[in-house]
Formats: sequence, structure tokens, C-alpha cells
Amino acid sequence: MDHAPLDALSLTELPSLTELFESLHALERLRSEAHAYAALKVAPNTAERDRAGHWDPQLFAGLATIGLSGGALLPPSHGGHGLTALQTAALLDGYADGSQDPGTALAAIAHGLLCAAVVHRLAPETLRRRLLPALASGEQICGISLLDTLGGAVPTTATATPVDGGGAVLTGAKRLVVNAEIAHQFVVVITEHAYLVDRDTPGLTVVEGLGPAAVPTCTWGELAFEECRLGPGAVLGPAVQAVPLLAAHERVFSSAVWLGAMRSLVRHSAALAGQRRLFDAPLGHSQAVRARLADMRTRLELCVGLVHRAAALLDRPGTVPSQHTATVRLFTATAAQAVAESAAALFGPEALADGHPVHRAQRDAAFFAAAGGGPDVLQPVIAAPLLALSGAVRSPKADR
Amino acid sequence: MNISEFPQHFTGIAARASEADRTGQLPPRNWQDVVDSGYLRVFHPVAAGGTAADGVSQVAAMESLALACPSTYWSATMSTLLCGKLIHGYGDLAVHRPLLEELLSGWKLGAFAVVERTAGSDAGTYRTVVSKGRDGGLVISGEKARITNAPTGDLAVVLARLDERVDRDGHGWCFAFVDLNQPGVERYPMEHMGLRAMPWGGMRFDRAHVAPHDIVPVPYAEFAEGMAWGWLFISVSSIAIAEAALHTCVAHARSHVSFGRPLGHMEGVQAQLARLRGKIDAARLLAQRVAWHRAAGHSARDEIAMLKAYATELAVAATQSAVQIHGAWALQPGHPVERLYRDAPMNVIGGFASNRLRELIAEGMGTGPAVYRPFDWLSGTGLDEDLRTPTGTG
Repeated sequence: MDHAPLDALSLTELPSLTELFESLHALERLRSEAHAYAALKVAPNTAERDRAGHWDPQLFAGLATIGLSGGALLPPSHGGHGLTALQTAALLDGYADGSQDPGTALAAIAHGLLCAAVVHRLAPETLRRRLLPALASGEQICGISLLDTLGGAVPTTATATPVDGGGAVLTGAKRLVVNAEIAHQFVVVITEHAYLVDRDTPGLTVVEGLGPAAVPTCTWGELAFEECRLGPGAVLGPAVQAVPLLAAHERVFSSAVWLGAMRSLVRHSAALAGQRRLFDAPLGHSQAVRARLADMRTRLELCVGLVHRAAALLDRPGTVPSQHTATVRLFTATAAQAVAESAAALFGPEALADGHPVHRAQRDAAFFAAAGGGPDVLQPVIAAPLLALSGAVRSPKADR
Repeated sequence: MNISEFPQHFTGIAARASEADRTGQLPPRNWQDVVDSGYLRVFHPVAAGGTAADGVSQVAAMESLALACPSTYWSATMSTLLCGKLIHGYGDLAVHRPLLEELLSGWKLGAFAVVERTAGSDAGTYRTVVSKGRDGGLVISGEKARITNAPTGDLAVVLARLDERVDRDGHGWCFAFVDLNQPGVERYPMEHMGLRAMPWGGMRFDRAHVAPHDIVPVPYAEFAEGMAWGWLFISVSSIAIAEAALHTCVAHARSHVSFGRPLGHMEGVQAQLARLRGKIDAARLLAQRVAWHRAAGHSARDEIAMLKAYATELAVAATQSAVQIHGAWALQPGHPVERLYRDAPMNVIGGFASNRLRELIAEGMGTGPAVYRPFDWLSGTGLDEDLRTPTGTG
């Protein structure tokens, strides 16, 4: 065997890791603030909103209090908070921990960290100047299909026919649209381009309420395009630029939400182990139970490192390797499901009661693992650069 | 100290790794390369004779050596990191600086002697004791087994009981810094499946002399805190083994054509590689974070325990995946994966096995200390039917 590759040590990454670890204390402070806010303002009615599928606009607007508005990542010149991706991830982590509500966090991600980020990165200056302050303040809300973070991995469900003078005519549909009921604008990616589509555009029908049987505290729906004509000003930019950004942000920020969700599960499970009795002894005396708790906490700590590294990479200039963001998403989704399942095993049948936090977490973790492409999309994204595979490199036999 | 140069320093060690495994002996040249590289000093503050690398750089240095040869890594790091930290942390630098310098200069090799023939993690069974000798001085008696560097080491940090006549602080336990090259100390090698070139074996103490200032009384609770340095270095060993296994898998998957296409084109193989990539990255990032905290003076003991349980089991799983991807070639003696496959399990067991670590982690989560009671909990529940009938006798 030749010596394992020296670049496996990621020696070039060492200085940035040192910077990252030096910032942990400040990040923890942000996380704690978001946790305290969410525990006080959001958590008390999470279960009820979850049960009713109720959207609370005041609650969503209140996220700006802790910086999780549509302007989280936007510079102050566009009305934003100018947060780094690391800081934003810490806020999402704390918010999800305190609120036990990944739905409103997903709404914030879709609006501010996917749509507003794409507009900021790709849109012409005039559009940015006009739209971004409204997105930052929450005066305008954006929605997007989570399937648009997958690029061409899934079959196209809509077409965009270019028209003379710019613009396009959209036909088809978009499913799994977050913020469908509340959005004033939608970012849609169709074949070559990303577009900004006003809710009132003739030919666009928003079918509200159609969504997954999970994460009910944000609003879901579908977009139906029938000869939906867009002007040249609706073109945000090329899909080859929009998709990597959307994919990277969805992977990193949704994983940050699940750090918080896992923290909550771990904490409640550990508390339960001290309270509940089994075989006339505290549950926590069982070596098997202790091992389960230890593994839950370990999975959480492992995910923290991956999320922090990927968020720190988003803050650096240049392209973030898809391998890193996909790794975070795959690992965190697997961990979230395992942690939720372990919590369910500890809580027993009561975890399956309607509205129980562990039951909600299991349901939502399954959705988290399936959205974003799931393992069948993420694994080749991670493995291909590892194997130095590309579409141009084929084996002779395969070509025949 | 430029950490990025370490891999270059260790290329010779990497080239000799296979032969070292075959013969079960570390080539003397390996030790010289380790000493010349400055590796032995990176873990210690300048005041103690070290070069004070930050935790992230320490992990990079460790992984460089562990990737080159896990056996050399274990021997060297056991001496400088674990023994060095215990001497520095629990000894008196004013007194023990020469002892530490002997380890950091590579002049002497250290061993950490905890386990005895009859037990693993259960300290209640340890019998090695420091007591008063016939001449009024202190002596150590007992036997330690399955100890890295036991056959070749010069100095041992020994976890021992304190005889009540010499136990001034009432701790009951001490770290004894014992010269292994003296009358009253007998060493012997022990066969082992993996890390074959690592010196490993036992040591018998028969009223061996220990200077009073080389007896450091410690409460037993401190034992795990000190051991955390060992958990960290074993974790990095495991990360390196997993990384090396992944590296061989990638090379094989790129070059081996199966069913008309390179193995790496297969979704199932990609899944294994992708999962491994993520797990190794996660373990390495946790190692870097805890090492950074540890080097900055924080305990991070529970997080290191998590890392140790995870990374060591990952290394075993990674080598199993490597066998799966390579096929039967990987099971032939001399194949790099076969060596990694044998090297991985020692990491799971050495320096607290995973089961024990998980108990400590849970304790840190508020479950209280581990409670051991004889099995009787099916009695009286109505669920012990099998225990009361012949069919349930197993």
C-alpha cells in the first residue's frame, strides 16, 4: 500500500479550524440567546400549532428579534443583519432546541437563506436594491420548492420556453413548496435558469395545503404553471449558479436546525432516564440505557463539528465543495433519525401519542432524511470527487 | 515547528510498516525518525521542554505518524503524550523535569501500566501496591499485563494501590514513576493479533525500588481524567486506520473493473465510501475540537470519551468495509487491508473499552455513576417463566 494521501490530513484546513474553535464561545452565546427566546416565545404553543397545522405570522415576524429574518445573511446596505453563516447556523441550532419546532425554522430558511440568498447572489442590481430590503424586513415573503435544491437529479416537472425579448413562458408544476400559503414571490429553477415569480402572475396557480405529512408548522403547497409568461426582469440567473447555492444552503442550514432538535431530544431523554423506573430501579441504571444515551449525545457532538465546518466554509470566498455540504446533510440526517428512534425507545409507547415531541421528531426526522435528495442523491455527490469520477470518464466496456 | 512537514518526516516509517508488522519488531530507524521529526515535543508546553503546538496541530501530527505506521505511533505516543502528560500533570515539574525530558528527547521510552492479569477496567481487582521496604524506602510489588512498551520501555507510570502505612492523603491510589531497568523488575512480551510491531507485554515488580518523590498520590477519580489523553491518542490512531482503509478502497474502486465498469461506478460501493468519508470527517473534526480544548487547558473528558468510543468502532467498521470492497485479496497476509483489519480492534479495547466509556458518558449526562447489581430483576415480575422451566435452561 502506498502511504495514505497526505492531503487526507486536510493540512490546509488547519488555520481556519483554529479560527473556528476560537469563535465557539461567541457562537455558544448566540445559540443560548436564540434558545432562550424560542423557549419563551415559541415552544409554549408548538404542539398546538403542529396539531392544527396552524401558521402564526406574528411568530414568524418575531424571528427577526434574534436575527433570523429574511435578512440574516444580507448586508446592512440591503437591510440585512450581515450575519455569517456560522452565526446563522448557531441561531438556528438554538432556535430549534428551544422551540422544538423545525417547521418555522424551515420557513425562515426557505425565505431568507435560500430565496433571499439567491436573489442577493444572482439578481441584477436594480432588482436587488428593490427587493432585498423588503425580504429582509419581512414585508415580502419568498417561497421555494425544496426539490429545486436537487438540480437535475429528479425529473423535471416544469418547462421554460424562452420568448423573444427575454423572459420565458412556464408550463408544468412545482411540488413541495415551502411558504406556499404566505409567499409573495417564488424562486423557481427550471432547466437553464432561476426565476423570480410574483404570486399574482397570470398563469400561476398556488395550490395551498398540499405537502408532506410532516413539518406542519410551516405552510406547504404546489405551484401550477399554465402558459405563465414572465418578463425579462424575472430571470435571476443561470441554474448552474443557483442550484449549487441552494443545495449548499439547504444542506447546511437544515442540518443546523437538527442540531437543536437533537439537543432537545438528548436532554429530555437523559432527564427521563433519571425519572422513570424499570425493574424496580431507575432507567438510567441500566447499562444498555446508558449506552443508548451516550450514543445519542455522541451523534450530536459529531454533527456539531460537521455543521460548523461547512458553515465556516460558506463564509469563505469561493465555491464550497459539494462533498462537504452533502456530507453534513447525509451524516446529520442519519444521526437525527437514530437519535429520534433512540428517544422513542426510551419513552416507550407514550412517544407515539399524538403531539408528543418525540413522535413529532421521529416524523420530521424522516422527512429531513428524505428531503434534500436523501442518501441516493447525496452519496454519489460525496463519492464522485473521492473517486475522481466525472461524466467524461467511462470505462470502454460501459461505453459499448 | 511546521506541522505540515510531519508527513514527509514519516515516509521512511511508512515504507517499513509492512515489514515491521511481519517481523513483529519496530525497526530502530523508526525511533530515530520520530525523534528527529520533533514529534515527541509537540504535545507539551515550552516550560516543560515542548514546542507547544495547538490542539489542531497536535492532531495533525498524530495522524501523520499513525497513517505511516500505527505500531510506531502507539509506542511513541504512549510514551510522550500519555506518560509525559501524567508526569507533567500529576508530578512536580521542579522535581520531574529531568524525567520528562528523557521521554521528550527520545532518550527513554515510557509505558503506562494499569491493567493486571486478572482484569481489564475493574480497578477493584488491581493488586499492585506501593509499600514500605525492608530498608525503610518505598517498593512496588505486583504484576501488570497487556501493556504497551512493557518489553522495551525504560520508565513506567504505574497505577498502584498505596499501602495504608504510606498513604498519607487517604487517596488509596497513586501514580508511581518506576525505573524499569533495575533489579526487581521483570518484563516479558505477549503475542497480539494487531499492532504487531508495537512492543506489548507484562511487567512483574518484586519489591522494586521507587523514590518517595516518584510516588504521586491521586484520587481514583483522577485516573479517568489522566486517561483521557490516552483516549485521544487512541482515537487519532483509529481515525488514521479508517482513513488508510478508505484510501485503499478508493484506489481499488477506481482501478478494479467489475461487471464492465470500474467498481467505483457502482452505487452500493459509492454508498460505502460516502458514508465512510462522512464518519471519518466527523470523527476527525471532533478530535480536533477536543484536542483544541484540551490543549487550552479544559478537560473535555466526556467529549473525548465519546470520540474514543466512536472512532475506534469506526476503524473496525472501516476495515470491514475495506474487506468487502476488496474481496478475498484483502484477507491474504501481507495485504495492507489485512494489516489494518488486525490493527483496528486493539484501539476499541485499549485504555477503557467502549462499554465502560459509554457508562462514563452517561454519568456526565446526569444518570449518576454506574450501578452494578447481581442479576435478579426478572424475579417476581412474572416474566421469568423460562428461568423456572427446563426449556429455559439454555
